[in-house]
Amino acid sequence: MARYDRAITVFSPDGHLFQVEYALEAVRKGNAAVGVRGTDTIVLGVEKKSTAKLQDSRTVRKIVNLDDHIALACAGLKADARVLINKARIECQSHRLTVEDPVTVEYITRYIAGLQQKYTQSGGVRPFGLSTLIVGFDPYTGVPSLYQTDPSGTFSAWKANATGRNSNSMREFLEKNYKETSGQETIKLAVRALLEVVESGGKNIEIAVMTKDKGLRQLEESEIDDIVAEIEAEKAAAEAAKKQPPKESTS
Amino acid sequence: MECVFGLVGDGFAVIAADTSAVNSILVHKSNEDKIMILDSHKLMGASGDMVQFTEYIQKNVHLYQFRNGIPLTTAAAANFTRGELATALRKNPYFVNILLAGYDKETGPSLYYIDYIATLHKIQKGAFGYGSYFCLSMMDRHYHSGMSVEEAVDLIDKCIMEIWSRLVVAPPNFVIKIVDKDGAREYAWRETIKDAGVAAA
Repeated sequence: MARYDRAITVFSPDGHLFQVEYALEAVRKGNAAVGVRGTDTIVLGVEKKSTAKLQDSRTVRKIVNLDDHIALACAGLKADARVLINKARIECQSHRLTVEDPVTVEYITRYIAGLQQKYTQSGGVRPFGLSTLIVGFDPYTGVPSLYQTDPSGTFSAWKANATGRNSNSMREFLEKNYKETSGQETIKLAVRALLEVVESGGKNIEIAVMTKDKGLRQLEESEIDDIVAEIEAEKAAAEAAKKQPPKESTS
Repeated sequence: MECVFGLVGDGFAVIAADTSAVNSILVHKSNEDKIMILDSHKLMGASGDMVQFTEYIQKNVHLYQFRNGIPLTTAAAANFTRGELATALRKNPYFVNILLAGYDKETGPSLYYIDYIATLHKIQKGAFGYGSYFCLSMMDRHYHSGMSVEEAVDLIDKCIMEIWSRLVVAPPNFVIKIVDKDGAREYAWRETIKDAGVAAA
């Protein structure tokens, strides 16, 4: 097996591209990221590792916008992310210039996935070590979308998804608790999913909300703290409600 | 021929341009908007072969904003535009003359003159085209720094009157756009010919 994982362009006998799988491993070690699609709101959330005291946290932006109506969050090698994001931003403007239309979410996802795939089939290069969550509204129909790409270059649309560290637990949570939501409820669902795997508090979570009219808005730490407090209160109320009914039935 | 002119006032800059699209003796349309809104606080009025070039500049200004999280200053946009013209000059030149007006929070309103051979000047008032023969003289006579919006539009109207009365191939319609702290927007049209709809049968 060791002989088949050196170069990206070599298949192993059982049909694996080991470099791509190792890239997926790199993603699994990256920060948790979650995306939830609502009817009129799409929410992206990422885990924020505690910032060093001397570091200016404003320069570490984990959720970026590619165009007025498209945003991206990723898990994995952040330096690779910079390169992909830069190319995607250029493509968004180039598309507007040549066809006088903003990109659709699917188009730019296909473009990014295509770039990631190109680097799995070239000599002398390694794949991008990141998975992306791309969200946006279709510029004409206004339909919200959430897509995910991975280092192999595959992409698909999701109602809600997670990537990075502990993504399996987050995805399980989302599968159990997902329902069509809008506005604040969508934000709360995304935060609840993140809280499954991240220490609670505004310091450790970064949330960005995309709406059709206002574009991408990063939530302030205080707003996130408020939402977390609301969620904890709801959890406590649910716990209390569970304990009460058995007492009532016996009395 | 195409007339574009503009000036800087008190906390704003204004550009006026004619709106006729002409090919030799034929007027294709009289409501062609030649003043492009580059971003929230910049206007680019162009004469000549403008569409290709101004759209390219607009998309690059947007790209800068996404990459860096903050918009370009007017001076930076003007220098970038001049740089693109200069690079293309000795290979595949763009025949476009530009007046670029913008408002920056720190430095206020500004106006830049960029001609087709990549000359760049920061100016208080300027004009391109045959109309410039008349506009520059009118502005020399009536312009003073710190004009209010009413005074500036009055001066623009005086320039338009001169063009209409003295230029043999005077364009019939003009559009006026303004940029100030609240952003770049269309201010008014001055029309002598309204594009009529199809006449009833």
